[in-house]
Amino acid sequence: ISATHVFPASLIYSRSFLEFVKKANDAGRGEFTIQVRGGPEAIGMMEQPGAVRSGVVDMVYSPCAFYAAVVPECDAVSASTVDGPTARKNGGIDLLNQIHQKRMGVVLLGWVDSGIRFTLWSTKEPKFDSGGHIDIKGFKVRGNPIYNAFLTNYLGAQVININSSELYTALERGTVDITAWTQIGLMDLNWDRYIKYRILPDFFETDLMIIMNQKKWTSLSPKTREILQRTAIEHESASLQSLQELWKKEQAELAQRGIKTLAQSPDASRRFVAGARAASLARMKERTEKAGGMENYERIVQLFTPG
Amino acid sequence: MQWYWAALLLFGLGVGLMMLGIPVAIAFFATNIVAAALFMGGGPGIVQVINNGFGAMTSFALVPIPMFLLMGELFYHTGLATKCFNAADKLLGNVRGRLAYVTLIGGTAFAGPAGSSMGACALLGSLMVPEMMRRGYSKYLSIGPIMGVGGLAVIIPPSALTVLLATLGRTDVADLLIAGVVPGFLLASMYGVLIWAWTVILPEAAPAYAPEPVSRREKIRLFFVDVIPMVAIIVFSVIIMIVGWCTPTEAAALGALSVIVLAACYGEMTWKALVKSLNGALRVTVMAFLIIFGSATFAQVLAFTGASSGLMNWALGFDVTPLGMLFVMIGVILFLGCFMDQLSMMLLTAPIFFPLAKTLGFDLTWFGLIMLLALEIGYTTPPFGLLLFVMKGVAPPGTTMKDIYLAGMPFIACVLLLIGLIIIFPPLATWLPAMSH
Amino acid sequence: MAIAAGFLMAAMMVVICLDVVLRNLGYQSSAHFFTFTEYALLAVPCLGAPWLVREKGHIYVEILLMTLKPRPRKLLTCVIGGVCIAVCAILAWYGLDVTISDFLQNEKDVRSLDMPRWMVVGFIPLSFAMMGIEFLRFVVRREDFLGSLGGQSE
Ligand code: NA
Ligand code: NA
Repeated sequence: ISATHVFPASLIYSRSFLEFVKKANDAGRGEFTIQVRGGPEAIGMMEQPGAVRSGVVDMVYSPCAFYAAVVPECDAVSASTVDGPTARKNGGIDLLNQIHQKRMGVVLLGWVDSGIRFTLWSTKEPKFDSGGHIDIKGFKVRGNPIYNAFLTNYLGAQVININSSELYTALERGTVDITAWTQIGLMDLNWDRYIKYRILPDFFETDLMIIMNQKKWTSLSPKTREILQRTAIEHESASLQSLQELWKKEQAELAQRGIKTLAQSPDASRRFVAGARAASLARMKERTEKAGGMENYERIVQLFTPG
Repeated sequence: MQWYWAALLLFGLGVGLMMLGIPVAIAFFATNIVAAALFMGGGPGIVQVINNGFGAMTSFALVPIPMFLLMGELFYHTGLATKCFNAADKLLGNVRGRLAYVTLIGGTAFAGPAGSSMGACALLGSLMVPEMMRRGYSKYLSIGPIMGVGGLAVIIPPSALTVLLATLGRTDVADLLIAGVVPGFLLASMYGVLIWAWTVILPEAAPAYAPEPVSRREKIRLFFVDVIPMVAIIVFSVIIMIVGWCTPTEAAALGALSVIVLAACYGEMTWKALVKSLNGALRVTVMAFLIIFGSATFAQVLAFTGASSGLMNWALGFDVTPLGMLFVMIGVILFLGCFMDQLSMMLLTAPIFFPLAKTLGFDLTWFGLIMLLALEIGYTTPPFGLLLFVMKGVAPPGTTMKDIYLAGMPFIACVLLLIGLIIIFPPLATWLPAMSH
Repeated sequence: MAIAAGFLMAAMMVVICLDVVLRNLGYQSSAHFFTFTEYALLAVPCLGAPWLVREKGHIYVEILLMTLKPRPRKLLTCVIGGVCIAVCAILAWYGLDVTISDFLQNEKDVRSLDMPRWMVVGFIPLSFAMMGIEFLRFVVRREDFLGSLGGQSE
């Protein structure tokens, strides 16, 4: 079984996936081996979902958002209020798996590394208005095609598009003041040198999926499938837990490095998170209407954002 | 199939086809097609190669290159460059090989902040090479310094490649950036000595014509009218980058625009000059991008077949001293550098080399800098080197690939010497970062 | 096509400048500008490549060719031409395949807007097909399509 991961091997998320591979290979000794062919150096980041779809590679570890144009329901995952194990229990992942098979011809093994949210990290202190809403007019925000609409429409931010490899220099020079990034991993990229503030609330959720080509999946022996599926489900819980622990550690470290946490007022926070969620769900609705399959829309929304 | 067969097939086929005289880009495509059909399951594999290429082309952070090229071509075709170098020629007086020094100093000042080797090389190449060859400089002396300076863009901060390497190696970015300052300027001085030695040993490389004597008033006029405005544009594009007003790409685009404005002020901005500049910039852009398309997908196929990791693990399997292992790692990078672009190489080697360096007890900043220098050499080593191809694109007709290979050699030797110096005398790399803490 | 490529490049410069100026004047510039430059990055070489073949601007290593006598050199040139045509044909064919399946599967390229992927990918087969035709023209006319060797001509 060949596999690739979208991020470079040094990133925390890729390491988590490699751990899954190790566990699966240990459990399936004599039965199968997963051969990791590499990260973006083997197949380009955005090309990996297509590669697993066509069967060039058997297994891919990728954010759902990378193929959200094919599977619009991905937006519900990033907007979700639950974590992987919960969605597994309430049947959300099963339904999403069926949708993956139907829309893209891939099997969704698991939603791993969940529970980590995105944060606005800022180099400058933002102002707050009387309602406790953050006011970042005039701040330059590093955009991401996926979140641009929310950032500009809701926050009125100035979005700058820049490669993440150039972001360090951009933060240093003040070309960019704010970047959205996951809670963890900031220090791996050394951005904490220029980042001074963490702006609450956190929003969105990581949507990292392990997917497999469906034809390959059905050609595997029942035992292999059972081991793979079981290991993936175990990893859904294990990765949730280990990343939460890591986040606790990183939080302490960030505080020690002098990064202040600012929060919007409870009311403003609620509106902020709701705004992000609404933006995602609106796009999902729009795409689903175009692609068909609206019959699942309500259930997906309900299963992934019950709160 | 074992990895070494795959590696042999891929490298052999690629180099073989290139040596036959097949255009470099096509040779890469052909190799990719064969490899994809063999290792990626036939048709779907070839489809994947095309999709990979699509991804590489639209996100490779390549935008600066056409913009820098356009800026250089505009300088040249509007006649602003000639004006400026005429003036520099007269002002510098009778220094042998003065334009080579102008390249070196101007290039170092520009390449540093630009951070894009190919961009800097494209700009300087289209600006200086035609001018120097016109004045009778030997082709080697015209071409070599520019490729050398193009490499400096990586070492002297800021540099996107440095940031990426540090990130991939999970070491401190700022330290690695700062570590490049001393070696960067040392390397520039070594280039200076090299040019001086060159003009002493081979005087015919740089024509020794005495500039016509110019009065002091004329000198002042030349300086203010011909030199200052052009220098101002370059300084302007450097400054807007440094103060964070815009990204290097945007600085290049603004630079190109300001050349147009300046040329219009001199009354030199003709429609013809614009078309010629676009034509020249387009030529090199198309050529370089096709090659990047081919080589980026080649590197991916190579990684996918397991050939790259096989090669690396084999090389790392030798039981040698830490110093020996360092040489093995440098060797692997130099070897891969003959075939691959810097970004692919980094993605491939950094996640393996850095942890290894850590276990060997190396200082990671020191190690990262050595790795960066080794990576930089790959820009100019035959048969495949991005700067070589950019140079070939901007050099006057009649310049052969062999000329360009040879022109780069002395400058590669300088970098190797510098690597040696840093290994023997680590503070070259580690002193400044330590001071900054 | 080359004219379109040249025009696109000039447009890229203008768009990037406009982006900076707008941003620094405090206006919200459109994220589509950035997407446009990324697509132009693909379109420029694709549109320019066939023209570059005609202009004999492709880079090759001429070491072997230079050492050969005129007759074997001519033969080798033909072989090279054949390889070039074959490679272009294969890539054009599979490129078309990608384009059509992207069209049929309604594949989107997710950037600042959901661009139908076939519209951008389509540049690739177009480019290789035209390149193949240009190579073919040279071979049929028995012309040397590689650039000048060692400064003999031009
Ligand atoms: Na630099
Ligand atoms: Na090279």
